[in-house]
Amino acid sequence: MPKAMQKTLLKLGVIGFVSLLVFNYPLLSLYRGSVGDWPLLYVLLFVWWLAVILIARRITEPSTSGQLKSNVDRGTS
Amino acid sequence: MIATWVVALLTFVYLGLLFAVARFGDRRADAGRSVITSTVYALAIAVYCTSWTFYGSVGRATTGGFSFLTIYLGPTIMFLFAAVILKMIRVSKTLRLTSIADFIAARYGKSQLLAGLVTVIAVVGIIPYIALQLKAISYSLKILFPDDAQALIPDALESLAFMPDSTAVIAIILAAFTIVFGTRHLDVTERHEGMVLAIAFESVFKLIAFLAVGAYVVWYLNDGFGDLFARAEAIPAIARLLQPESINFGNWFALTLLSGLAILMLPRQFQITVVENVDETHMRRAVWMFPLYLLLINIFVLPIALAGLIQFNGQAFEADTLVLTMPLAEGTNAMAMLAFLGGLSAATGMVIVETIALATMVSNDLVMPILLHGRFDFTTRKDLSGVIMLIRRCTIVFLLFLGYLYFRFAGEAYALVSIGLISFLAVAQFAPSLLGGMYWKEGNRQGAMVGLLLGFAVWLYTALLPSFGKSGWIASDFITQGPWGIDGLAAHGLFGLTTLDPIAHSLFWSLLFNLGGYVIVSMLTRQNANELATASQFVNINSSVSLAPKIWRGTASADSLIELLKRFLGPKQAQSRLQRYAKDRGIGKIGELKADADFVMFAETQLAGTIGSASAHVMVSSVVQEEELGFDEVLNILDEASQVRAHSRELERKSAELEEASRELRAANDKLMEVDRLKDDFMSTVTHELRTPLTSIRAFSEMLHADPEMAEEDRTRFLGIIVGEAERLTRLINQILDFAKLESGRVDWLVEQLDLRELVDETAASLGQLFRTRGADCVITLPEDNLPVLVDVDRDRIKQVIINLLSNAVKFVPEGNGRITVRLSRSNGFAIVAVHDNGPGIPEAYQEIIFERFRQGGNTMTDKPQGTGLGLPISREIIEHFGGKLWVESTTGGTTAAGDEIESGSTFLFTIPLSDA
Repeated sequence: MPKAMQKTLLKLGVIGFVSLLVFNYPLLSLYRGSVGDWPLLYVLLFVWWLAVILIARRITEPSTSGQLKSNVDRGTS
Repeated sequence: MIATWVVALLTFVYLGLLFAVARFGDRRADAGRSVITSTVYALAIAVYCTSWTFYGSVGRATTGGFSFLTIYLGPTIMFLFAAVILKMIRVSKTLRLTSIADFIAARYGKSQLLAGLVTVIAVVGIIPYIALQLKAISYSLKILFPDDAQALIPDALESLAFMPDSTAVIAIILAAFTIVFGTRHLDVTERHEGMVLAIAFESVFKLIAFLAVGAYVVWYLNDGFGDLFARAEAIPAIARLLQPESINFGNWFALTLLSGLAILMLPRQFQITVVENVDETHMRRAVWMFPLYLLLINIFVLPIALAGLIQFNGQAFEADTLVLTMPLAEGTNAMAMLAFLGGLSAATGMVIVETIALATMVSNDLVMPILLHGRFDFTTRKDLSGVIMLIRRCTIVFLLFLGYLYFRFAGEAYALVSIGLISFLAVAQFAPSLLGGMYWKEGNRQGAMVGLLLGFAVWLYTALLPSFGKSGWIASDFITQGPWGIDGLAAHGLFGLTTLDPIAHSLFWSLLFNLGGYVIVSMLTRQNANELATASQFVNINSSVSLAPKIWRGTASADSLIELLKRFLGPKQAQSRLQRYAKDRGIGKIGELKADADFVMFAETQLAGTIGSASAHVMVSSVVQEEELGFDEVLNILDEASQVRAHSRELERKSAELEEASRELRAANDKLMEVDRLKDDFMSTVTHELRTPLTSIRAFSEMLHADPEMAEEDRTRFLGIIVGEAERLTRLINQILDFAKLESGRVDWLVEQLDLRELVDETAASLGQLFRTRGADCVITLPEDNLPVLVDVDRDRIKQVIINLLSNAVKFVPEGNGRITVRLSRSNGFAIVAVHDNGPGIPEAYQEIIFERFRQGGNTMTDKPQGTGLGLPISREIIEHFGGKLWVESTTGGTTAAGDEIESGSTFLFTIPLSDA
């Protein structure tokens, strides 16, 4: 298996372990209260979830992200 | 109320569209233009979201708050461990494996018994799950047409005895779809691109439908998320669901783990993720796109549940169908119709893929072994491909019929309502032997068999039987009190563990027994040579290059192998594959093929795609005389293997050395490029610095030359400038030469031991005239002990440094009341010289820059240069040569918090190591 691929899989695995922590006890028990009318638990669960997805995308498809970014920089996206 | 014909028309249009999409996908695939892109692949994986997601999540959220999310967070996290999935794909592609039963059996010596056991567990666990999908379709039709169970059946056919209800019609259509698009090829490993495209289409459809209903409930029926949450907060019973206190964290973790395992082990997920994968790189997109899909389909679940709870506060209502009943109650028929089609889409997608996956397992691992071993004269037929295809198609019909029967007879029972998680628990039993088999070479067939049997038994006792008990089919005392009144054997409190909810409890004990049995028995028993070879192949699949087993010896006839392939694959298909195989090996005719280990493996792998690896092994063994390996041969093989390993280690070492050398070369090259850049910078700065005084000299000389009548006063002033600039030029050139010498290390250092006390005194005295001209006082403070401060240095160079620092100080002190202090002291084996002035101070940003070549403090565009910009860099070079340091401490003034004024000024300090003597 190419080294770059191994590195990508390793990074994803690390994010996987971090996600296990973020989406479980004890961190989950801290998300109490609300942000305005929105329950903090609802907001944080979905925000962390989206963050994990974006990081995974950044890791697995860096060229696409880079291309998107450069398009935005040039104002063509 | 929606008209019956509208629902019937739209349902059939939707199902027709599904056929059209699948047909389009297959046509494109036949034309060699695959439609399976990474996006289609990722969307097809979303077949995970069934009607249980579409309707059931909202129901779960009304009682369990956020707990429904665990079913989707588990797969999200599992997809981040993409290495596991990638390995499964690679193993399956290499060995042409067709199902999860095939996968496990292939790992443990191609055991038919093991494949059969996995298939039985899958069928027992999944058939009720298929029934649940049919029930969802039936229930949604019942909501739309409470009084007409045959709404989708044309009136002319209603009188026929075999037309029981609308759900049966849909089940028949699904069976037809699955047969047409799920059994196009005899070889299961040849992808069903049309079916995958149709499933991806369904995924998009159900997502759009659910988002539309969510948006409708949140913004049309209510005033947005904030409004819903605020109203929910006002009702204590509902507000409780929104806080972490409503979560049982033990169950939360258990359900996350369970769903994480299910996403790998569910037969339909294995089918789409592993068997239907056309390109490993598609995983790159699936890793984030599938979790994104899960996020989107869940974002409105809680708001819809809250809206339902608020609307029916205190009244009884059917939480599982809120997605459909809310738009219907408001009379928004179009939205209700969209919700119905979304639910239908979620259910049909699951039924189609699950049936294909189960049918492959049942036909390959249950029916084929019976036919091959049984009394039927099956193996003597010339071409079995048609029979195999017929068996698979009949199996599809049979499985759907079983699902339908289960739905008809247990439709309202608890056993069906709770089957989602119970099915997950059943397939989770595959995890120890499947994952263990991929990463642990010592795991063996006996271990896998014992583990699976124990796990399955515990699952039956703690999950399935209690659901039967709660349905009233059997006595339910054993659930809480245990059989014969033994509390420790209670199905929901095994060995006294009563703190977990039933699902988490069953998961804990079943996996513990399963894993324990697998590991202990594997450690106590031994593998045979064949199993050992397959184990190694599975574990090292990423580095394995060849399929041919190295540990194989036997005699075989190429003709009998070719004959076998023709019988099972069909003559045409077999001919084509054999020709390809022969061509790859540079052999002109199929008849010239030799029955070596490679060819035997090729034949077995080709058959595995059609009848499963276990049956393929049995069939190939029937025409091949395999011989047991002797002890000497095993030793020879081991010897050869250890030599190869040693050689590989040597190669690895050399490769590491090469890498190190190339890294050093790269670093040296980078350094050279940096030096080259610095040289260019230096040259351009020097040129610029030289040009400035030269330009000035030339301009004033030309003015003097052009105007002989110039006034005496102007002439004297101009000549003064010319002399000054010429002096600056000379100084600059001297310093550049000096600096160049220092940099290149060509300076002749005349090191001697001297007393810094004398040197400081003498140097300060030599600049007395300069201080007086500027009107500055210079105070020298020397150590009070009167002992010499001895250092080993070059006298002239250190004097040069002190002169530089004092000249700098004089330049910046205020004219008329400048104060300069030179302090000499000792500390920690170093002599310290500090030159302090009461000038304006140096801003922090410039305190390091002034030690760079040609850099000075202040704005270079507006301020007049005060020197050459080389004095301090030269001084630092000299001091560092003698093992000391040169730095500046400075403040630009201001006031303290108490209002006291802070005086501005700079202190340049350098240290020199004291002599040892």
